Amino acid sequence: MSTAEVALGHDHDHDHAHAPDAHGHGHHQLSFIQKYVFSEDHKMIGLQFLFTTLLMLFLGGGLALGVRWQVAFPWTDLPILGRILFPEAGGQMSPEFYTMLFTMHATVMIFLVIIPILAGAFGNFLIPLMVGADDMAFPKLNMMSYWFMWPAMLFFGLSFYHGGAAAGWTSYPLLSDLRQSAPYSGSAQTYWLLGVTFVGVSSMMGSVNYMTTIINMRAPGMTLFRMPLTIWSMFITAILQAFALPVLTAAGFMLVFDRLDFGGYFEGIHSTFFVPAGLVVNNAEPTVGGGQPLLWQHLFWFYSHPAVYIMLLPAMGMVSDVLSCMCRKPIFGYKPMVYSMSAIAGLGFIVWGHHMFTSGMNPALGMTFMVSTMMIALPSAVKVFNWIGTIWGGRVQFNTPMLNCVAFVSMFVVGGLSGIFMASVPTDIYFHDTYMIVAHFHYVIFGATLFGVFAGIHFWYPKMFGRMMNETVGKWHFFLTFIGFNGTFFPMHMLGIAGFPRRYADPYLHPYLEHLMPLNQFITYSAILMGFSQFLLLGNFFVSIFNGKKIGRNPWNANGLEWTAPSPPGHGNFDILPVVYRGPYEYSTPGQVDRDFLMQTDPPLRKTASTVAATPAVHH
Amino acid sequence: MRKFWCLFFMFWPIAAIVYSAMSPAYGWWFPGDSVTELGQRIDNLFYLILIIITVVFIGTQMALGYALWKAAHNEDEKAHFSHGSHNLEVIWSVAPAVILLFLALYQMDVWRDFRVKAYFPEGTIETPIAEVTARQFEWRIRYPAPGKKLQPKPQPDDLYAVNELRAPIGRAVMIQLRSEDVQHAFFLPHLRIKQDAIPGQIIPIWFKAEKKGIYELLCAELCGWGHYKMRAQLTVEREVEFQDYLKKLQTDQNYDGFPTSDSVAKKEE
Amino acid sequence: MSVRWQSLIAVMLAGLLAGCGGDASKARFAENSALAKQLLPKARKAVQKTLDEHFGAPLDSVAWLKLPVNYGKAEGTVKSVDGLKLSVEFNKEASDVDGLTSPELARAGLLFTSGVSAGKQVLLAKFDPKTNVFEALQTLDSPPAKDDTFVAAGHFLRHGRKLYARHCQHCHGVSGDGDGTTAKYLNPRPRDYRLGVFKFTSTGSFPAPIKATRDDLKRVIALGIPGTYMPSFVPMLKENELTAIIEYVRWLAMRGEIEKGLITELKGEYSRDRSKDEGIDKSLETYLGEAYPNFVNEIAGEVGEKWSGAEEEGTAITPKKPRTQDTAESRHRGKELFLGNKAKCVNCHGPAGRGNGPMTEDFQKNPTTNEVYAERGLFDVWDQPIKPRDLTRGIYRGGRRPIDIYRRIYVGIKGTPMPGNSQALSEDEIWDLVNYALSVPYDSQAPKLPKPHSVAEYSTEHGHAN
Repeated sequence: MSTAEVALGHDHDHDHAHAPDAHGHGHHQLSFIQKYVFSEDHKMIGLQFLFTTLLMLFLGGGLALGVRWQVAFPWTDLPILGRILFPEAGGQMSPEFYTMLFTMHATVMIFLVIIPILAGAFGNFLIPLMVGADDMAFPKLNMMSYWFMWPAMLFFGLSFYHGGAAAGWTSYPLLSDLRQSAPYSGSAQTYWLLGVTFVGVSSMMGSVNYMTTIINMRAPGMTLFRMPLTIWSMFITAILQAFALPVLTAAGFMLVFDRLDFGGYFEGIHSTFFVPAGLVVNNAEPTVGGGQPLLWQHLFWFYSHPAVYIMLLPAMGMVSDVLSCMCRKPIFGYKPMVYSMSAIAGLGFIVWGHHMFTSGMNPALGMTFMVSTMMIALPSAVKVFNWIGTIWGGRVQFNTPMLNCVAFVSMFVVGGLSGIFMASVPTDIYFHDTYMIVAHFHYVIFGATLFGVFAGIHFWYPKMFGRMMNETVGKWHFFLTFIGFNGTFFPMHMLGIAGFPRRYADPYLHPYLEHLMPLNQFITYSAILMGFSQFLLLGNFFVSIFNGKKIGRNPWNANGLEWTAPSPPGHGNFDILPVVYRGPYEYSTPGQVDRDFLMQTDPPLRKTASTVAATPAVHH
Repeated sequence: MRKFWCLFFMFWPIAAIVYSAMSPAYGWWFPGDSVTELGQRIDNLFYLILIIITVVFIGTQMALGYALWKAAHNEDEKAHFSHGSHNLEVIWSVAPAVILLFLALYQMDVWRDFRVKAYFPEGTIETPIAEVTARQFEWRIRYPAPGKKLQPKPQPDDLYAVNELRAPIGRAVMIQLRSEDVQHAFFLPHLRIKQDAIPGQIIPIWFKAEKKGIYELLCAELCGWGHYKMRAQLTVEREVEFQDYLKKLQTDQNYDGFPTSDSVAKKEE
Repeated sequence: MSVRWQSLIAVMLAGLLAGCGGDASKARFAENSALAKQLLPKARKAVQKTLDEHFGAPLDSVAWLKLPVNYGKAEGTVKSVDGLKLSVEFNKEASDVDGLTSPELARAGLLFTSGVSAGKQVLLAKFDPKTNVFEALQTLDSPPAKDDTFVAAGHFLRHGRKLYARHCQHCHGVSGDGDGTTAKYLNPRPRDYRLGVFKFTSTGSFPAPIKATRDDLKRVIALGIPGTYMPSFVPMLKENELTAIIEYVRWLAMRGEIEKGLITELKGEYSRDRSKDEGIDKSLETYLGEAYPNFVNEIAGEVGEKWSGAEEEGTAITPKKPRTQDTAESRHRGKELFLGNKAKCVNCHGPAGRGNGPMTEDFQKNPTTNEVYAERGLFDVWDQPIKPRDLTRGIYRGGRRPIDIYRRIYVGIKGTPMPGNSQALSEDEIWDLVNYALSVPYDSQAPKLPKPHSVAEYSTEHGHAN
């Protein structure tokens, strides 16, 4: 028996001796409400986030299909809803309803699906498990981070009830500021802003928790550079959130103050942060004030550009982990991966201006932002090359998580490359606010992030529920989603090149766009295919909870700490406090005979002459 | 099944390339060649970027597909054990960095010529031909009376038009862009021009249309429910026709039910 | 919006379960319920039936030839007759027209122009645009023969409806009641056509207001109404599209007027509060069987005459003298008139032309019902609060040409408290007012009236203006 094993045994005892103190409450019988509703267990909170966001995914998707219907078949009977909402007009939707649809689609997808599913669901579930902690640093805060999503959803719901915000998810003033400029979104816009604020509160609580947990609660031996890339990405995301969010929150409150109008005795605040003087909109009184609409754009994008990386980095991390495991190969260039994520996060703060090239800001700023934006493509490129390097020479297992990972890489390349058109100012003059932008960010946020999420769901599902998801259904879901996705978004590049503007309820009023209608109909059919394929995922997800194949602790033969815990892990996660001896990517280590993976907790291999010789040079 | 998936991931980029290649033939491409020289330079930049990204796209997708194919048929008992390669990392950091920096610096002059006032063609800034005011949901255009200069404030003899902007051919002209209510964007797809109209600001735009014709002018920034309705047109015509148009506008605007009305306009001057 | 969401929540499940029958998606004309609810339920139904018969539904419209609407004419010849089926051929010009090749042409009806059925109209149930085969609604008394010529009316109506649904409906409403889904957000509200009143016309208002001409409507659609959400539809719409929309709008306006006329007539005897009266049902039945059909025709003729009257030669008001030279003196005279008792402009438009005259601060009477409005300020015939124009903004809703301003002063703005001044003011006086009104936005030009304390100031300004 080696010394390491002795040490492990010692630790084992140690853990047991202190376990009751370490998480004493864990041994109480928890009531149903404590266990499943107001749970402080990071796993339950993660699952709560996952269920909520999956359901929201369908709401967002439904709204998207409404948008697609109007663009492909303008002013025709909107299926199902049209007859209920617009009976007199024969189911034909109204233009302000259309502006509401795309605004709320983006809102739901960004604030209630992508951000919470990555940080909330996966961040919560994975961080303590992967760093070897028994829970988050602040379990109560963690619980609140989930329950603060509910006021957010309540406010978005109220926003829907009042007709829905309709100034685009970017909410540019003055459309979002002056009530009379978009009266149909009167209180809806205010509720929308409050909803976003609560999502921000929830995210902020999460990110404080993630940072603290990752810094303070790593298992013995888990040095920073032994952390899985998922954890690195969550860490960097949490930092991004913590620094960028306050700006959005502040801007949101400024806009709320501009809008607030209590009526009656309390007149409201009527600040004019974003309102210039002397505008007459909808024959209301001329505005007073000396505000600047561009200020909102600066503040908004100072958050929302980093937010794009908040919506992407965790998926990058998760895909790195899954890819390495499914290729049975160490991740290619671990440290460059970490550095490039850090570089993305750092540069992410100085590129916001590329959303404003046509806004009329000082042209010198445009030049500066063009250079920084071009530079942010660099770390992304490095990551792509590293992923390909990881696959190279691997023994690939073509299961659902792997397929989704490959799709992630493949789609991310497209999204990254089309971004170059927008990074360069002169071409952006033409492409700004056309479907080129729509294609680009859907390739990044859906094509990359959501495929990454699909990979993550299939990969960590066994850990969440102790059962496997159905492979056949998983592959069909992937296949149909992939085809539907590319059928939907690839042609949008062409729409963009043809100068097809975004957010048009009826683009065919413009003769140079008339011939694009059939293409849009094709896109809509693809979108319907893609949308309905998601029912496969939903069905697979829920049916497998009860019917999936039961598995043990480590069904994928993966290395991470989470796979040493039971499936599903009990309260406190690990039955023994794990001790970490190596990084998480030691697959196919030469000299190992019985298996091709070395878990982070496995004691070091006995060094024989042959293993020393066989170990290739390791570059860090 | 492995083969299928490898081919699947190699097939889609091919489908994408084929689809892109046939797009111009189906009209899923630029709405015609740019009618300004600056627009042509933008198009050239577009094609330069397109070539670069197509090469990178094919390169990475094929590398991905090939890596998959090879890895799928890996007969070894274990995967190749490697944590990475320092040299490779350096190569694939430096190479894209050089290309990206080149792209960024290469484009500066187009941007400068389009936006930086000091580089506007001579004579454009002093004599803007019109003031275009965007409002929900139309473009209101104000020309100075023939022979006069456009003043920042409306003048009694100014000429007004709705949704119809006219400009002379072959002469660099400047317009002043304003918004009366919310944010709009002045988008001339055939001229590759886009500029937001910000309430409270007057933003100059210059262009020099080289080809006679009628071009679409639309709004590219969400401005409310009628965003899609803001259709207008830019008519590019010969200098004489342009002046005639202004005169006709003047006559129309002074119409009092009697054909000799333009004499009234003359007296006024 | 919130009401709609409530209904959504309530109806969604039921709707999904019921599967939503095909009819549910059919667009329909809203009833003028504010008026119709004053009728006996049976009388109300009768009005609906009349309207359905003569106007149909939006997707299934009927061209009532009694009305002076240019429904679009498509001439053709009968190729063969087989029972109810008529195989026809349209002449070449007609088949090129957009909207003709629609199956909806069916209910248009055919008017035969030669043969035994000449002068007779045949209502049709079906039309197959591919084979050009019509199916008649009922057996023909004297069936047409081969080579009989006919006129099919109605494709303008259908084309117009299609364009109306795309461009106008969400504000002006399906039935032209100015209450589309977007309408409630707009200030001023979109026009309700059903009174048949349009604000900015070239036609006179004395002794009785004359309807708008097609050219008036066209001008408004083409140029928009500055300062409102009525946008300019040129270049969005082509010439023939404008024509089709105008005909459709006129048709809707007539429909609304006829609806109102029918309700007003029936209300006299058969109002809701008489539902308990002895024998009222019987009396209504008799009335509907005997006098009512005649009345329907009568009122249609009356309304039609008003609209066709507007199109007659010389209805457009044109000045008899050219515009007075736009001098400081003329503007000065204009300003004096503006402030004076003769034209009384100041009462509404205010001393500085800012649209804040004393009338806007007072309670006004509804001229038709003689009731005092509950709120201060002016109201139009649609019972919407209305503000006098702020002349300093330089926005002229009815157009900024001198002749437009002239007509506004001469004719007034129909349906609003802005009266026609054709009787009160002379030609010269109107032109002086025009000159003054056009100068208000430009401070340096507006003549300041000499007041005791500012004579010196006036003379310097005066000097500048020249």
